[in-house]
Amino acid sequence: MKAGHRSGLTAVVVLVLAAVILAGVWWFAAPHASAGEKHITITVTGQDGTTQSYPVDTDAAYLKEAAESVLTLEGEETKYGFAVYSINGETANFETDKAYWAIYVNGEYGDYGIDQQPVTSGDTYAFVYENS
Amino acid sequence: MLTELAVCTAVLFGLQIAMAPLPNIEVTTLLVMLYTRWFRSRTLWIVYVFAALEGMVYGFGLWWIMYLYVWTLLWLAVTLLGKRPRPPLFWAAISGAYGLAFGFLCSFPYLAFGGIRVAAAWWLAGIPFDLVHGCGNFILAMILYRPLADLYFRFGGASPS
Repeated sequence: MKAGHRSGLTAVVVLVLAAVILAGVWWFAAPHASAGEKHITITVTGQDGTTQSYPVDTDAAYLKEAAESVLTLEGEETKYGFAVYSINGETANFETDKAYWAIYVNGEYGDYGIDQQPVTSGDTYAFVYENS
Repeated sequence: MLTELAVCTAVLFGLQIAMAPLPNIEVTTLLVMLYTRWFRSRTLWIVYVFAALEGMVYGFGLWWIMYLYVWTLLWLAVTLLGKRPRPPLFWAAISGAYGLAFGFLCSFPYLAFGGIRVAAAWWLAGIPFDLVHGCGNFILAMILYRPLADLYFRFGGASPS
Protein backbone atom coordinates (compact mmCIF):
# COMPACT_ATOMS: atom_id res chain seq x y z
CA MET A 1 0.00 0.00 0.00
CA LYS A 2 1.34 3.45 -0.91
CA ALA A 3 2.28 5.78 1.96
CA GLY A 4 -0.21 8.35 0.65
CA HIS A 5 -3.12 5.93 0.78
CA ARG A 6 -2.06 4.77 4.22
CA SER A 7 -2.10 8.37 5.50
CA GLY A 8 -5.61 8.77 4.07
CA LEU A 9 -6.93 5.63 5.74
CA THR A 10 -5.23 6.54 9.04
CA ALA A 11 -6.81 9.99 8.90
CA VAL A 12 -10.26 8.46 8.31
CA VAL A 13 -9.84 6.05 11.25
CA VAL A 14 -8.81 8.98 13.50
CA LEU A 15 -11.80 10.97 12.22
CA VAL A 16 -14.26 8.17 13.05
CA LEU A 17 -12.72 7.74 16.52
CA ALA A 18 -12.96 11.50 17.11
CA ALA A 19 -16.64 11.47 16.08
CA VAL A 20 -17.40 8.58 18.44
CA ILE A 21 -15.59 10.29 21.34
CA LEU A 22 -17.40 13.56 20.62
CA ALA A 23 -20.78 11.79 20.58
CA GLY A 24 -19.86 10.10 23.89
CA VAL A 25 -18.94 13.43 25.48
CA TRP A 26 -22.28 14.86 24.39
CA TRP A 27 -24.22 11.82 25.64
CA PHE A 28 -22.66 11.83 29.09
CA ALA A 29 -21.99 15.53 29.70
CA ALA A 30 -24.73 17.51 27.93
CA PRO A 31 -28.08 18.05 29.69
CA HIS A 32 -30.91 15.95 28.26
CA ALA A 33 -34.59 16.68 28.43
CA SER A 34 -36.80 14.40 30.54
CA ALA A 35 -40.00 12.87 29.20
CA GLY A 36 -43.50 13.18 30.73
CA GLU A 37 -45.60 16.00 32.12
CA LYS A 38 -43.78 18.82 33.88
CA HIS A 39 -45.05 21.72 35.95
CA ILE A 40 -43.01 24.83 35.33
CA THR A 41 -43.33 28.58 35.64
CA ILE A 42 -42.51 30.98 32.83
CA THR A 43 -42.13 34.69 33.53
CA VAL A 44 -41.69 37.60 31.15
CA THR A 45 -40.13 40.88 32.29
CA GLY A 46 -40.51 43.65 29.72
CA GLN A 47 -38.59 46.83 29.08
CA ASP A 48 -40.67 48.72 31.69
CA GLY A 49 -39.70 46.18 34.37
CA THR A 50 -43.15 44.70 34.88
CA THR A 51 -43.27 40.91 35.15
CA GLN A 52 -46.01 38.55 34.07
CA SER A 53 -46.05 34.99 35.34
CA TYR A 54 -47.45 31.90 33.61
CA PRO A 55 -47.78 28.50 35.32
CA VAL A 56 -47.41 25.84 32.62
CA ASP A 57 -48.18 22.12 32.54
CA THR A 58 -46.31 20.69 29.57
CA ASP A 59 -44.90 17.57 27.96
CA ALA A 60 -42.43 19.70 26.02
CA ALA A 61 -38.82 18.58 26.13
CA TYR A 62 -37.39 22.02 25.42
CA LEU A 63 -38.30 25.52 26.52
CA LYS A 64 -39.36 26.85 23.11
CA GLU A 65 -42.29 24.46 22.80
CA ALA A 66 -43.36 25.05 26.42
CA ALA A 67 -43.12 28.83 26.03
CA GLU A 68 -45.13 28.81 22.80
CA SER A 69 -48.05 27.26 24.67
CA VAL A 70 -48.53 30.50 26.66
CA LEU A 71 -46.55 33.19 24.85
CA THR A 72 -46.48 34.66 21.36
CA LEU A 73 -42.91 34.34 20.16
CA GLU A 74 -41.37 35.86 17.07
CA GLY A 75 -37.85 35.23 15.88
CA GLU A 76 -35.92 33.26 13.35
CA GLU A 77 -33.97 30.06 12.99
CA THR A 78 -30.25 30.74 12.86
CA LYS A 79 -27.34 28.36 12.54
CA TYR A 80 -27.01 28.64 16.33
CA GLY A 81 -30.66 27.85 17.07
CA PHE A 82 -33.86 29.90 17.35
CA ALA A 83 -33.23 33.59 18.07
CA VAL A 84 -36.10 35.27 19.97
CA TYR A 85 -36.80 38.82 18.79
CA SER A 86 -40.27 39.47 20.15
CA ILE A 87 -42.35 38.15 23.06
CA ASN A 88 -46.07 38.98 23.26
CA GLY A 89 -45.51 41.74 20.72
CA GLU A 90 -42.64 43.44 22.58
CA THR A 91 -39.52 43.49 20.43
CA ALA A 92 -35.95 43.60 21.69
CA ASN A 93 -33.99 45.12 18.83
CA PHE A 94 -30.29 44.45 19.13
CA GLU A 95 -29.33 46.46 16.05
CA THR A 96 -30.91 49.74 17.17
CA ASP A 97 -31.07 49.41 20.99
CA LYS A 98 -28.51 46.68 21.78
CA ALA A 99 -31.48 44.97 23.43
CA TYR A 100 -32.17 41.23 23.62
CA TRP A 101 -34.31 38.70 25.47
CA ALA A 102 -32.18 37.01 28.15
CA ILE A 103 -33.19 33.62 29.53
CA TYR A 104 -32.81 32.84 33.24
CA VAL A 105 -33.31 29.38 34.77
CA ASN A 106 -34.21 29.49 38.47
CA GLY A 107 -32.66 32.96 38.66
CA GLU A 108 -29.38 31.92 37.04
CA TYR A 109 -28.38 33.21 33.62
CA GLY A 110 -29.20 30.45 31.14
CA ASP A 111 -26.47 28.62 29.31
CA TYR A 112 -28.63 27.58 26.35
CA GLY A 113 -30.85 29.05 23.69
CA ILE A 114 -34.62 28.69 23.90
CA ASP A 115 -34.71 25.59 21.70
CA GLN A 116 -31.76 23.93 23.45
CA GLN A 117 -32.82 24.60 27.05
CA PRO A 118 -34.25 21.34 28.50
CA VAL A 119 -37.43 21.67 30.58
CA THR A 120 -37.34 20.22 34.11
CA SER A 121 -40.41 20.00 36.33
CA GLY A 122 -40.48 22.57 39.13
CA ASP A 123 -38.13 25.02 37.41
CA THR A 124 -38.80 28.67 36.68
CA TYR A 125 -37.78 30.08 33.30
CA ALA A 126 -37.60 33.85 32.97
CA PHE A 127 -37.45 35.90 29.78
CA VAL A 128 -36.01 39.31 30.63
CA TYR A 129 -35.63 42.31 28.33
CA GLU A 130 -32.02 43.47 28.71
CA ASN A 131 -29.62 45.94 27.12
CA SER A 132 -25.95 45.21 26.59
CA MET B 1 -3.13 36.99 -9.36
CA LEU B 2 -5.14 39.77 -7.68
CA THR B 3 -8.10 39.06 -9.97
CA GLU B 4 -7.81 35.36 -9.22
CA LEU B 5 -7.89 36.02 -5.46
CA ALA B 6 -10.86 38.38 -5.86
CA VAL B 7 -12.84 35.84 -7.90
CA CYS B 8 -12.06 33.08 -5.38
CA THR B 9 -13.17 35.36 -2.52
CA ALA B 10 -16.41 36.11 -4.36
CA VAL B 11 -17.02 32.38 -4.97
CA LEU B 12 -16.33 31.63 -1.30
CA PHE B 13 -18.64 34.38 -0.06
CA GLY B 14 -21.38 33.69 -2.62
CA LEU B 15 -21.50 29.98 -1.84
CA GLN B 16 -21.55 30.67 1.91
CA ILE B 17 -24.59 32.92 1.46
CA ALA B 18 -26.27 30.48 -0.92
CA MET B 19 -25.78 27.50 1.41
CA ALA B 20 -26.57 29.38 4.65
CA PRO B 21 -30.11 27.90 4.88
CA LEU B 22 -28.61 24.39 5.00
CA PRO B 23 -27.69 23.84 8.66
CA ASN B 24 -23.99 23.04 9.01
CA ILE B 25 -23.61 21.97 5.39
CA GLU B 26 -21.02 24.20 3.78
CA VAL B 27 -18.23 24.24 1.20
CA THR B 28 -16.28 27.05 2.88
CA THR B 29 -13.96 24.54 4.57
CA LEU B 30 -13.25 22.69 1.33
CA LEU B 31 -12.62 25.90 -0.61
CA VAL B 32 -10.29 27.35 2.06
CA MET B 33 -8.36 24.05 1.99
CA LEU B 34 -8.09 24.12 -1.80
CA TYR B 35 -7.17 27.82 -1.85
CA THR B 36 -4.43 27.10 0.70
CA ARG B 37 -3.05 24.35 -1.57
CA TRP B 38 -3.17 26.71 -4.57
CA PHE B 39 -2.31 30.16 -3.23
CA ARG B 40 -0.27 29.35 -0.10
CA SER B 41 0.06 32.41 2.17
CA ARG B 42 -1.95 34.61 -0.23
CA THR B 43 -5.00 32.64 0.94
CA LEU B 44 -4.98 34.79 4.09
CA TRP B 45 -6.09 37.74 1.94
CA ILE B 46 -9.11 35.72 0.86
CA VAL B 47 -9.84 34.60 4.42
CA TYR B 48 -9.76 38.09 5.95
CA VAL B 49 -11.72 39.77 3.14
CA PHE B 50 -14.28 36.95 3.49
CA ALA B 51 -14.48 37.58 7.26
CA ALA B 52 -14.98 41.31 6.66
CA LEU B 53 -17.76 40.64 4.13
CA GLU B 54 -19.45 38.23 6.56
CA GLY B 55 -19.38 40.92 9.26
CA MET B 56 -20.91 43.49 6.90
CA VAL B 57 -23.78 41.14 6.03
CA TYR B 58 -24.48 39.44 9.39
CA GLY B 59 -23.19 42.13 11.78
CA PHE B 60 -20.00 42.34 13.81
CA GLY B 61 -21.18 40.34 16.85
CA LEU B 62 -19.31 38.06 19.22
CA TRP B 63 -19.47 35.28 16.64
CA TRP B 64 -17.43 37.43 14.24
CA ILE B 65 -14.35 37.31 16.49
CA MET B 66 -14.03 33.59 15.87
CA TYR B 67 -14.18 34.17 12.12
CA LEU B 68 -10.91 36.06 12.50
CA TYR B 69 -9.06 32.94 13.65
CA VAL B 70 -10.97 29.74 12.73
CA TRP B 71 -10.17 29.97 9.02
CA THR B 72 -6.62 31.03 9.79
CA LEU B 73 -6.23 27.88 11.91
CA LEU B 74 -7.52 25.79 8.99
CA TRP B 75 -5.07 27.52 6.68
CA LEU B 76 -2.25 26.79 9.14
CA ALA B 77 -3.23 23.11 9.49
CA VAL B 78 -3.44 22.61 5.71
CA THR B 79 -0.14 24.45 5.19
CA LEU B 80 1.67 22.24 7.72
CA LEU B 81 0.02 18.98 6.63
CA GLY B 82 0.43 19.81 2.95
CA LYS B 83 4.22 19.80 3.04
CA ARG B 84 4.06 16.32 1.48
CA PRO B 85 1.63 14.93 -1.14
CA ARG B 86 -1.66 13.65 0.34
CA PRO B 87 -4.56 11.79 -1.28
CA PRO B 88 -8.07 13.35 -1.45
CA LEU B 89 -9.19 10.86 1.23
CA PHE B 90 -6.74 12.46 3.66
CA TRP B 91 -8.03 15.97 2.91
CA ALA B 92 -11.63 14.76 3.24
CA ALA B 93 -10.76 13.42 6.71
CA ILE B 94 -9.13 16.74 7.65
CA SER B 95 -12.22 18.59 6.41
CA GLY B 96 -14.41 16.28 8.52
CA ALA B 97 -12.20 16.72 11.58
CA TYR B 98 -12.39 20.48 11.16
CA GLY B 99 -16.19 20.24 11.12
CA LEU B 100 -16.14 18.18 14.33
CA ALA B 101 -13.85 20.71 16.01
CA PHE B 102 -15.68 23.79 14.73
CA GLY B 103 -17.90 24.27 17.79
CA PHE B 104 -14.95 23.83 20.14
CA LEU B 105 -12.88 26.37 18.20
CA CYS B 106 -15.77 28.81 18.15
CA SER B 107 -16.29 28.57 21.92
CA PHE B 108 -13.09 30.54 22.68
CA PRO B 109 -14.77 33.99 22.60
CA TYR B 110 -17.35 32.66 25.10
CA LEU B 111 -14.45 31.54 27.31
CA ALA B 112 -13.12 35.10 27.30
CA PHE B 113 -16.47 36.81 27.88
CA GLY B 114 -18.45 34.30 29.96
CA GLY B 115 -15.90 31.97 31.54
CA ILE B 116 -15.33 28.25 31.17
CA ARG B 117 -18.90 27.29 32.25
CA VAL B 118 -20.53 29.31 29.48
CA ALA B 119 -17.97 28.17 26.89
CA ALA B 120 -18.34 24.49 27.85
CA ALA B 121 -22.15 24.69 27.86
CA TRP B 122 -22.12 26.40 24.47
CA TRP B 123 -19.79 23.76 23.03
CA LEU B 124 -21.72 20.80 24.53
CA ALA B 125 -25.07 22.08 23.25
CA GLY B 126 -23.64 22.33 19.76
CA ILE B 127 -22.01 18.88 19.53
CA PRO B 128 -24.90 17.35 17.50
CA PHE B 129 -24.44 20.21 15.00
CA ASP B 130 -20.68 19.54 14.96
CA LEU B 131 -21.30 15.87 14.15
CA VAL B 132 -23.50 16.86 11.21
CA HIS B 133 -20.90 19.45 10.20
CA GLY B 134 -18.10 16.85 10.29
CA CYS B 135 -20.07 14.28 8.25
CA GLY B 136 -21.13 16.92 5.72
CA ASN B 137 -17.59 18.22 5.32
CA PHE B 138 -16.20 14.72 4.82
CA ILE B 139 -18.78 13.73 2.21
CA LEU B 140 -18.55 17.02 0.28
CA ALA B 141 -14.75 16.84 0.24
CA MET B 142 -14.86 13.21 -0.93
CA ILE B 143 -17.12 14.25 -3.80
CA LEU B 144 -15.65 17.64 -4.75
CA TYR B 145 -11.96 17.76 -3.77
CA ARG B 146 -10.57 15.85 -6.75
CA PRO B 147 -12.83 17.42 -9.45
CA LEU B 148 -12.14 20.96 -8.21
CA ALA B 149 -8.41 20.32 -7.89
CA ASP B 150 -8.33 18.84 -11.41
CA LEU B 151 -10.37 21.75 -12.78
CA TYR B 152 -7.94 24.30 -11.39
CA PHE B 153 -4.99 22.28 -12.72
CA ARG B 154 -6.58 22.18 -16.18
CA PHE B 155 -6.71 25.99 -16.21
CA GLY B 156 -2.99 26.18 -15.51
CA GLY B 157 -3.06 26.19 -11.71
CA ALA B 158 -0.98 24.27 -9.22
CA SER B 159 -0.75 20.49 -9.18
CA PRO B 160 -3.77 18.94 -7.44
CA SER B 161 -1.71 16.64 -5.19
